[in-house]
Amino acid sequence: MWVLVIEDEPSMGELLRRGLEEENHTVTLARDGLEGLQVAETCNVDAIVLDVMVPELNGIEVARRLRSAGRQTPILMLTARDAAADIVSGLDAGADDYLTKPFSFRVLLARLRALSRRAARPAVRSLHVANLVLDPATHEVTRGRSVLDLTITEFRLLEFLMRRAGRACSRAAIIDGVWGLEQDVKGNTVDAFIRLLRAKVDGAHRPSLIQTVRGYGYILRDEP
Amino acid sequence: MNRRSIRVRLAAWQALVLMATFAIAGGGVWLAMRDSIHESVDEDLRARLSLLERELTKAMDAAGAEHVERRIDLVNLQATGPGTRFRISDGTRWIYQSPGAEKWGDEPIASSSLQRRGRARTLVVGGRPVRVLAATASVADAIWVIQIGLPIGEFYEALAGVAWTVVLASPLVLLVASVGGYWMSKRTLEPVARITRTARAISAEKLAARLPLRGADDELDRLSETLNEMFARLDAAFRRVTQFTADASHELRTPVAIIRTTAEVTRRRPRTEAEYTDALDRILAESERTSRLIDDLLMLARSDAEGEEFALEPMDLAQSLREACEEGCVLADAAGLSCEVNLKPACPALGDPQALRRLFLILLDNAAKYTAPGGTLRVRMDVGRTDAIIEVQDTGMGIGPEDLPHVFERFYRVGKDRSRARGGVGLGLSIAQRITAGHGGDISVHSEPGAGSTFRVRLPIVAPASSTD
Repeated sequence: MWVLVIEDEPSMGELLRRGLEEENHTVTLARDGLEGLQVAETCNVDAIVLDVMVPELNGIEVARRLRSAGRQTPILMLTARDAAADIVSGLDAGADDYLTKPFSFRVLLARLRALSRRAARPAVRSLHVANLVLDPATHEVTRGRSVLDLTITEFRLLEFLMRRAGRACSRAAIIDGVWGLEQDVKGNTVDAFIRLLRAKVDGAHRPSLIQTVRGYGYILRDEP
Repeated sequence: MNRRSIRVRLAAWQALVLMATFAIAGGGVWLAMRDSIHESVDEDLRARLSLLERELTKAMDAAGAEHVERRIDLVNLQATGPGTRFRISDGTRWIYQSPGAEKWGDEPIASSSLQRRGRARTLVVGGRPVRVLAATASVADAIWVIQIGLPIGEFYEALAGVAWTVVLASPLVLLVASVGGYWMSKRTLEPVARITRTARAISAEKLAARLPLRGADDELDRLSETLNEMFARLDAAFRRVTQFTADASHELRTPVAIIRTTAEVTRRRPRTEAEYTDALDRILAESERTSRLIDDLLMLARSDAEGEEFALEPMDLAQSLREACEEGCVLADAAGLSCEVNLKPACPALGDPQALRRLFLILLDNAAKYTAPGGTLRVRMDVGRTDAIIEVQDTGMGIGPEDLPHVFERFYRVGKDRSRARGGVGLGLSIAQRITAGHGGDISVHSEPGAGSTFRVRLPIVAPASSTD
């Protein structure tokens, strides 16, 4: 999934990026609260890892503004202070969960999965569209009874579309969410990866789930 | 019970004092009444005595002194009034005694022992009090002593009545005194109880609350004020500690979090050797930073606990500063700054050379950190009679007036965003201040945003240093 990490500590930010990317997540890193808020408001990210003590706009304020703008993106708050007051005000401001630094990276991954699961209603462990199933924890993708063998980018692309199943995704949004904001990727690269993904997902199966929205992008849905 | 004891004791004391007052007043009234009874009886007796004296003189003039016994019957005894008894002595024997008077004692009284107004006594005859006055009387040519007495039982009965009234009233008085005393002490102590309740409610959770003042400016208001001042000090101390703990935990957790996450992320899959080296380097750097931070925190904690932890020894202040400047100027060079150092040859002082070197390095390091390349770093030393002044001046970004009062506070960073990248956590100047204070000196800062800052350290020195100039 697409994770926005708001962390001012450069080493910690890079660590989170690398660790999350190695778990097949797309990571966008923001260095301060304002930048983070802008990304969270303009991009349809799947989860936010938010450090409380970030400059410009502290994490609690970021969470509050996002929630008051109606954004329901799951927020996992990181805090180096374990003062109860900080945790309470963070959760009250709209964070869904918190971790105290130093934290276990495995726990961070599990909590992110839990948050994204809760964000899907009803809560499911894996993503389902027709007989296409994607398990974010095991990275297993199946269509009917056959297991699909996807590359990392294909997996991210499919997860991105499945998380937004039934909604049209523009090429630009797909680029941001799959390759990250920093990458310079063209629209026809998306088309190329969609072709590869289609061959694996829809090649031998009916109905075709990945559909083209002419002149805009793609949509994944269980109807023609 | 313990809380009530003052109230009970106060009530008991009030009752006791009231009872004592009542007893003294009752006794006083009784004595005054008795004296006044005696006085009026004595006056009466004296009047009767002079009447008797006149009657006797009349009788003696007619009969001559040698026939007193016989003539006495001629005296109008009724002139002395009813109930009166008397006897007459010539100094050696009783010449005449009216019935009942013989029970007043046997010794004739010598006239020389009596004063002019006579002597009055109260005798108890047959269980009844009798007031007896003895006085001299000159009848014809003789000096006689006449004792004249009146029963005063009625008066004493009245006196006893007063005494009984006092005694019988005392339980009632005691009751009223106790109840009244309890009520009064309760009334007196009620504000104290209120202060106690309020003060107890002011716990660590809400130290900001204060006792209300009643505006009477009395002892209780002063008590409340004193307690309020104490609460304010506690509140400030509590806040400082809370803030310090929160800051310290943040600063300690951040590097530990990086160390842990680095190790964990690295361990998740096989890496190339370069990646391992990179991770270990990062862990090493963060470990070093953590141990530096722990050292700093321990130093501050120790100096908080013990006040004085520097080993002061005779040393050369100029030498310490020179060594620090050599290191500092390397830093300055690296930061693209020029370094102007103006020191004295020698300056004997009592100090901890390592701590002082650290103090100077903190100032030089700060100056180098916050000055843009091309700037200048100036170190100047002035030596007076009792103090040395060391100034570290930079042409850096300066410190804004809103930050200036706080730069020596622990974990205070000027501009939250820039410090960690530059390696500071905001303890350097606190430590500098500690070291200066530990040497009996002080440190101050003058700064203009955009023009640079000057840190000025004053340290006491050993000898007048004019000879070194």
